[in-house]
Amino acid sequence: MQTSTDLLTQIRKGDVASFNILYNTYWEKLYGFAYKISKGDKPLSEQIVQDIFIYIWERKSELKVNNIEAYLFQAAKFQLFSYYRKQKLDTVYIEENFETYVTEATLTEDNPVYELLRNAIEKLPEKRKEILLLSKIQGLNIQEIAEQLNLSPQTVKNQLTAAVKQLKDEFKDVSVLLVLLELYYTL
Amino acid sequence: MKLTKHILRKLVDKFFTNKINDNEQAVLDGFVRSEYDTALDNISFTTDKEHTRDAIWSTIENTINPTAKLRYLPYLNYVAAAVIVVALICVPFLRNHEKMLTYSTGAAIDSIQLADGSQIFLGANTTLEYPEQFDRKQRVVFLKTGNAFFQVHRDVSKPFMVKSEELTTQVLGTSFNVRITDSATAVTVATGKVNISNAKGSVDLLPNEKGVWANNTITKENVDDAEFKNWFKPYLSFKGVTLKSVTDLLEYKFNVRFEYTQESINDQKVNIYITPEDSLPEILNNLEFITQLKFNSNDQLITVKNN
Repeated sequence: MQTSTDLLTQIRKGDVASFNILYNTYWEKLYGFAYKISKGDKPLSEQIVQDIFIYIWERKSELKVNNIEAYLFQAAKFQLFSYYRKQKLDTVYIEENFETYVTEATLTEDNPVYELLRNAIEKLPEKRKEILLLSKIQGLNIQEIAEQLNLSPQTVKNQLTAAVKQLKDEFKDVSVLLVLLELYYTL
Repeated sequence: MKLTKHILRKLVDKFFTNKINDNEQAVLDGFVRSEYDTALDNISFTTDKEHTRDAIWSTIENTINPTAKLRYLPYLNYVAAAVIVVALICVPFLRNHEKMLTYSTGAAIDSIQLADGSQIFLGANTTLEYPEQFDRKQRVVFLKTGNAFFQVHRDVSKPFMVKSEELTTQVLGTSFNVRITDSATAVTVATGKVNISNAKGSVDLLPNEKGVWANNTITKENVDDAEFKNWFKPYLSFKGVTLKSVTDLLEYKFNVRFEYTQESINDQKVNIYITPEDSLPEILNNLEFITQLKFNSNDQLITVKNN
């Protein structure tokens, strides 16, 4: 969505009516966003939308034509995160949604998260990678993998541990991949 | 059954403390973006959509444009006029009876904003007395105990004064720290110019100068560390700084004193970050773990020694 230069000029001058037009354009999306993240907490969602627009008004001179929605989105994100940290919203709900998102993202090609995980797995030695994928993606247990690859169960187990360790080592700085691994692969 | 922080919480914490790396940022942004993009998919506004929209707007409008309300309630003008008349009559008599307020902190730091817009950050166990409204000629607050950082709103016509038992600090508009301990009162300047005085003398201080009242004299010294102007910031991140810098900062923040049994142990380098939720005992625990030293608390005095 683009906002006209004229409207913005008026807002910068302090014209409340123009600001109302901006508000009417964007409030619903922001409200819906807060509503979704907060598991339908209406008072909280109203509060967040209020605070965002008041914040924006106070910084109206910084507004630029092409970044208004991004600016509003960033402000909303910031607010929601800080409510989350203060546990003013249902933390379990948002955490479960996050897990769902990550799970889906890692299975969806062309998603950046999927790419990250994939690149890391690609770097594993061939056999190790095969065992990891059979275990985690196809959901085979150690016995089944051992039979399929004609290996001893202990070897499969060792390779699996090594694969996970190697991925961890590659992302020493507690990177997101480690995070993802913890999520799925109970280590 | 989660004993540790959820991954999302870890990421958000890192986001707020600027410790997030690109991969983590990508995941966090991806999540929030997908929630945003689908925000209106399931929301069920029935009849109250317009109502919600207008209710939120009316609060926004009242905040950004407080006079807007008067259009709808014209009689408020008369009320306002009456209040002003009463005030004009009474204020000259009331001026000498300013209502004083007292604010004390407990184990954590806090901040208050005064009627003139000045901001004061209070360390732990600190008491400040200030008027609800300032006098017409000057702004006076009383620091009773503890430690405070003042960001004074500039008003040349009304000097700002911090009085403590031993010392008066006077400024026009500037920022500085005042710390009272059993043996001394110290004023350290961050920006602007400050004058400190008492019956024994008067000294002007510039940025990074510290005036100390102790042993019945005022002395002046230079400071090259920044702890006195950083301690009240909510998130503190130390990378490779000396243990001494960290404990200096904790002294300001928690109104305690650190004593090292050996000089040599206080310059070992540490990495630590401190969030607003961290209490002093928690921070000391972390430091013990990081440095392998022993921190013994006895009231306001913390002794640091080799394990």
